[in-house]
Amino acid sequence: MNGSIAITGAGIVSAAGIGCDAAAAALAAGRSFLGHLRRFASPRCGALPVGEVVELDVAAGASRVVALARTAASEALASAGLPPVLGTRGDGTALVLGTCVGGMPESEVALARERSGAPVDPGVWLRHECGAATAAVARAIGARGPRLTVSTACSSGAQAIALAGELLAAGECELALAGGADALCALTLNGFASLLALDPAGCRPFDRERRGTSLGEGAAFLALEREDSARARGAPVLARLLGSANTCDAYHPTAPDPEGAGALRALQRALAAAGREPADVDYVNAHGTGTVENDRAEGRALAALFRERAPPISSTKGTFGHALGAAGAIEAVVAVLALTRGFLPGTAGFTAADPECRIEPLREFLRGRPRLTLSNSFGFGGNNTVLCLGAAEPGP
Amino acid sequence: MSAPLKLLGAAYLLPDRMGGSRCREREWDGPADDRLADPELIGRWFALDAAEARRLDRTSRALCLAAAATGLPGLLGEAERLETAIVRVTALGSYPTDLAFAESLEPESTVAAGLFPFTLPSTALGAVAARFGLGGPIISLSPTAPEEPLERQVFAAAVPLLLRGEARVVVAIAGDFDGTPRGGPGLTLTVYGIAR
Repeated sequence: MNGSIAITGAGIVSAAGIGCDAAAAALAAGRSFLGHLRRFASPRCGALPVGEVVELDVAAGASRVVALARTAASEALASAGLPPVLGTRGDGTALVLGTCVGGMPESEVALARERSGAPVDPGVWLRHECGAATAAVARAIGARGPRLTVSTACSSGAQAIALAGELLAAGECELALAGGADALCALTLNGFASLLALDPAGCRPFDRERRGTSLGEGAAFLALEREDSARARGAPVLARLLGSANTCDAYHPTAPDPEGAGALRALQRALAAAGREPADVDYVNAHGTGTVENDRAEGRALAALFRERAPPISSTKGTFGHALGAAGAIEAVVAVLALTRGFLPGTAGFTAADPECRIEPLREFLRGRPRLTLSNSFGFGGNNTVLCLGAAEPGP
Repeated sequence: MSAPLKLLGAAYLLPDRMGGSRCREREWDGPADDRLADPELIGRWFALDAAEARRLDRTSRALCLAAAATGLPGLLGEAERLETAIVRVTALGSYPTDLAFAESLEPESTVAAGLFPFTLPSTALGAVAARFGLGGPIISLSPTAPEEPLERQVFAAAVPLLLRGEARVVVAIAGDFDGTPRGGPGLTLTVYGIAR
């Protein structure tokens, strides 16, 4: 993406609670919000720590992903000074949602009922497909412009934001709500456990003893506008989407390129799209899943980009867990909070550096004034998405 | 649209036959001779050992086969491959694999760990990228409107990547091959290679 897009609103739901204030307080506290799974029984994985959203009320049978997304989108609209249901502005409003599981949490319940001979609401199958969640959220907020559903594994939320930037830059909409939402479900929990990719001690990004990630759930949205339309309605600009890039490792369907070559290309292209240099970067929110291979590959890509002058780098997955399709959007909101509230998040769970990663993440939360941040999101399939986000005012 | 686009190749995959700009139409022998289920055969087609071929799910095998049938891999140099994107619009995504994996979670079953990564629709696109060395963006989208042809939707997503210079070539994939874990009736997968 080339050209600056104004970020005028942000919303987030995470294991730390509902809202940007809860997320910022969680990061300042510097602790993990991982805990035991409460919402459903998991004979194989029940003892593994997860980042579950416990405050959210979801009506029986309703989509948890939609409820998460609506909650985060509502906060993003409110912080952008927009009503919860868009009126005439809805015609020029795009909704771009990244999600991996869509209606799977409800489908799993329905499949179990079907097996036991209990009646099943056939509507559950209509709500299974990922695009159904996007349609439901768009209807709820009155967004009647372009509607896109991105499902590119753990980069989905970041790629949704990047695509929204492209829609705005191309003049296809005046306002875009873009983000990600995913809910914990048996499929992903058992799936990652079967790959031995979940750390029984909780996610420890870039740590020498790391053994995997911890799954989480949540949603996050940004309200994005072209500079002219933000100005025209007098919207306060929180931050700017300056550039983005998306590459593929072309290495293996599931394993990252060990040297992080694809990730490095995405980092370089995102900076080039923003017209910036590595030396301009004040903070990187790493993908940092806590898996041995991912952290090593990402660390090497970052080390190759910054050489001996790396800015503060941290992963927030030890705080919130890895919310899969929502993760990239959650971390984009974290980057916006860092820019607007003046802080650098630490890396919960990290205690000892791994020389194989070639970087050492920031351990503790720090106050600061970052002006330019990168947010990395990588996923199965070798996807690498990098967002370059800047402060509302460039500063000195 | 400010610049003309070139169609470099195209292919289709149906439950009973396949064809493409770089291969003659072939008939499948039907479900009893399901070539996509044969890792030895898939391995020979794509120069993989059978173990590696076995690790791909059916959707990945189908997408690799269709991409090969366009003839694109033979047309692209290394530099172009690194700038080649893959965009797919799919109504079913990884649904057949989701179901197969979910079945393996039954208490009496062994969890099919190798299938799990393919329960995300972009993993199959990653398999195509890895197979043919395509390093550009990968985007998997759900249909925006059920009444609009998937081809139109995938071109709407693919063409801007070319016009913005984010990719030199796009492999645009519309539709689904499998309706169930064991194949499905009446589904169509089409693949187009387009460039500026």
